[in-house]
Amino acid sequence: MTDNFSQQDLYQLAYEREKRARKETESILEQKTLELFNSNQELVETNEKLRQQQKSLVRTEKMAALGELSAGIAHEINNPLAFVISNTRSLQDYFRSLSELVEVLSREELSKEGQNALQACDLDFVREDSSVIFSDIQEGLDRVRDIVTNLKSFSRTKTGDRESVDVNDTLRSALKIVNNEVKYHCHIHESLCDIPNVYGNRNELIQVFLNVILNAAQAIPDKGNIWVSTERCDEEIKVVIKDDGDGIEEKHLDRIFNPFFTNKPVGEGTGLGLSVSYGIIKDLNGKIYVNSVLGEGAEFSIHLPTEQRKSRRRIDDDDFSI
Amino acid sequence: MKGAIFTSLAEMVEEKFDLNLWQNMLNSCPVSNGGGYSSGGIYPDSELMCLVGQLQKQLDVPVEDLLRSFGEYLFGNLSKLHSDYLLNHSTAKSFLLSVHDVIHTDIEKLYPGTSFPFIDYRDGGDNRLTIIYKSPRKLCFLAEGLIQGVAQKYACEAIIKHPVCMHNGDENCILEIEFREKSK
Repeated sequence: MTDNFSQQDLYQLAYEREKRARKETESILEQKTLELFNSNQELVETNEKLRQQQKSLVRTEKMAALGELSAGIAHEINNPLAFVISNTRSLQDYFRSLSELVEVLSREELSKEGQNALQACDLDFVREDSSVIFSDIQEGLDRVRDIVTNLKSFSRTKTGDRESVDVNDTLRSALKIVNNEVKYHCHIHESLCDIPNVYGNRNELIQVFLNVILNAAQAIPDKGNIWVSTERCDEEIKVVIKDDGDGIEEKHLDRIFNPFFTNKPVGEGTGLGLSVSYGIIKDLNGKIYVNSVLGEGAEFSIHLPTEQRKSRRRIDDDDFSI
Repeated sequence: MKGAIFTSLAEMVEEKFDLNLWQNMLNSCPVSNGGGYSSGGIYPDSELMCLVGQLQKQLDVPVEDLLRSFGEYLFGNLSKLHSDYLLNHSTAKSFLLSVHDVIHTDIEKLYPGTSFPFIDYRDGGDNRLTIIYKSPRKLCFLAEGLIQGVAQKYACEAIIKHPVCMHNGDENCILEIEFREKSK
């Protein structure tokens, strides 16, 4: 049966229907807009994550390549260095013997020709200067040897003996060693929590902490603070070394662990400290991060797997990042 | 079922008949939102079936013819909203071949959870195409109308044979289509 509505009623009903339809459309639109916004947010976050992962991957590959290069260079320098050091010692011994011989001879009655020759070579000066030269050569060779040793440490061609290490104790040792150097211009704040041991080499870890703490101290021009803290994060322990010094320029953050990268004046640093630290931490399946705001300071955080976790699983190398 | 189908039905009834008829159809069926359909909404299939049943009752025409007419009208509306799909194809046959893989896939992305009929194709040569249609809605006559709508857009005629039909107890429908140039 068909009802016959008046024109006015029909339009009234149609109007109300359209109004309901409009409201429903608006609600759908609102919901879709929200979905779109959320999807977009997710996309932005995923994109950023991908960018960071890509950056980390590039860095890991670069560091691996640098490690190989460093190992190669260290090996190539090490061989000639060994015979240069050995020959220099022999040469020094020969020179000492010759020098003593000349000393004895000079006390003897020499012919006129002999006396003239002795005078012409200015023997006293030669002996004195040679001693300085040999000392400089020795110092130079020692420096080259240290660099080669550090390069080897960075490329981790040799791993030290491992044992269960108390990181808090290691940090305290490092702080004692640097105390004299930093006590006049840095106030050290310690906040060491109860943390499980890690599996590693105590001396190597001391070296890492020394490098980072000394870097922090050197970044403080006058007077400042260094905060050293430890905490447990699930199956990792986290060491944070933070300072309120000059900070690191953003463009340098990516290069800070590269061998020979330094901001210090020529002669004041080899630029190997942090790269060696990087190598040590990487070798322990750990991670080292750096954050910095120029003019406000820098923060290094070192994550190391606890001893228990170490025995359960091995972290992929790709986890290592800055 | 997509709201666009309901809004098109309302438009067709109001345009070809009158507002009074649509109002009566709404009054005779349990409708969502008081019959205020939105093209972006999704409504129960049963509402469309009821509305079409009411229309058939009021007009006293065979339901098959009614669905064919509505299909043709519906395609006119849809093609205005999504003309890009038409531009990508130069023939009605090529367009129809893209329905399952392209258009339905896009709708699924936009409106996850939308249910589609099963469509398969048998290419019968230059101007022939067989479509195998299967759907619990059994709207094969609506599909015929949609195909006619496509043909109209591509300025050709579609001669459709429907030898196998779900309404006759068959498992699916077979629509044999022959495209011809429009007779002048």
